[in-house]
Amino acid sequence: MTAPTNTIGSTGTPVPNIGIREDLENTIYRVAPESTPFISNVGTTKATNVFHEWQTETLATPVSTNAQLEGDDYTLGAANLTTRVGNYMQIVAKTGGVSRTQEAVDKAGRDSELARQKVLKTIEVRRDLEMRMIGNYASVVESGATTRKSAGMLAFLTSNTSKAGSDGGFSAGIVAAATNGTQRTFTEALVKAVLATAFGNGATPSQAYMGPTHKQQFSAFTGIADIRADVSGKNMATIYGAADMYVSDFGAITLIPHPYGLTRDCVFVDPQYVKIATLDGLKSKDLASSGDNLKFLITLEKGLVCSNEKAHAVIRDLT
Amino acid sequence: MPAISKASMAAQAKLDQEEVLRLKQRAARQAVAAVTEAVEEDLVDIRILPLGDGKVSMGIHIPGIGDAHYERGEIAKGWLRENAEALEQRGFAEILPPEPAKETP
Repeated sequence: MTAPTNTIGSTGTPVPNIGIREDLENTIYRVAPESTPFISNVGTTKATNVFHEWQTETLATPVSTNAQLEGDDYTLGAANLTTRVGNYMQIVAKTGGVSRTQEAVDKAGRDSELARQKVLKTIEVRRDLEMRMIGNYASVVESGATTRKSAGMLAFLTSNTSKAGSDGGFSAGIVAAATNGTQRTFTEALVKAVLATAFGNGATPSQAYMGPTHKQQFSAFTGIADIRADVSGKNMATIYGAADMYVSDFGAITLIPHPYGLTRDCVFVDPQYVKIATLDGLKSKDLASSGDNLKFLITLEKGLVCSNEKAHAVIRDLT
Repeated sequence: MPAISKASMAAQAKLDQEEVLRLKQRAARQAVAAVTEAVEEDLVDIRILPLGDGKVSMGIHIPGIGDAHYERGEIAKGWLRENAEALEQRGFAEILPPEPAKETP
């Protein structure tokens, strides 16, 4: 059966009615990875120049043959000098603009389009910074049209690295990026080997950052822990489906999946030895209007301080 | 509401099966294409230069010590051209010309 001719109904019926109000929810749904786990977990410090420097020091390799004659005279041993390391502060910015009219019209889901744009651009700026800080990026000196750039965490690491290519590292004022090699399967053997090297160099990383696929693979590693949590009383034991904590031979490591920053590396971090240096914090500035519109600029100027690269470890070139 | 006959349900099931079969064939064809693509990677050999001595990893990590690295003058085979070019740019290695094909007697 169909509706009789000339029956007034909704859209699609023989006679669609006129003057029906639209039904538009007053909510806007956003699904996107907004978290910035790396810059949120590590420390912070203040920078006062575009090139921020710090110093590292090390100890000589221990020897078991350090035995001296009684009453002997001595010549001085090699001095323990410090090494200066540095990184550049990077300006991260986003701009936006809205016509005057858009601020006046009745909108669904937001009162002010300008305010909404500012919130979104701020989230984007933080994500851009996160991407740079954790990634394999070289530091760059500003020159002509070339922008100043901060090196990323993966570029700094040279001591405790497992790779199929070549490390980057700090040298003569610049941090070079690591060179990729042929990708390998992520295995627990790789994790154990690099953690042993890291421990030998004095590192005790407590966090591991990796991409989503590598997190799933890491969850299948056994470590030295029992997969069941010990419980007291009459409670039932829990079997974990995903290992958020990996108990290694050298301490527990929290596994942190990174939604967008890492694709081929798993980086082990001691958050005590890495900081985000701020030359200028997050700022929102109204730009001069060039017409019937409102413009804004969101900026921050920050850089990575990898206090001592020996405190961390990385497994590069993973499939 | 018109009744759905057994015959029409069977015909629908057959159509569904054909659709699944078609999708399987498509996936298989694409998988073969992907494998063929992977095999045809542009691989080159490189020679380690003085600057790259002890800096280019052999992909082997010795626990407690670190990676084993190529030494000056050593030849590393089967590098992706993209990675080899990156090493060449840093002065760590040079890409070797492809070996001439051996003539069969």
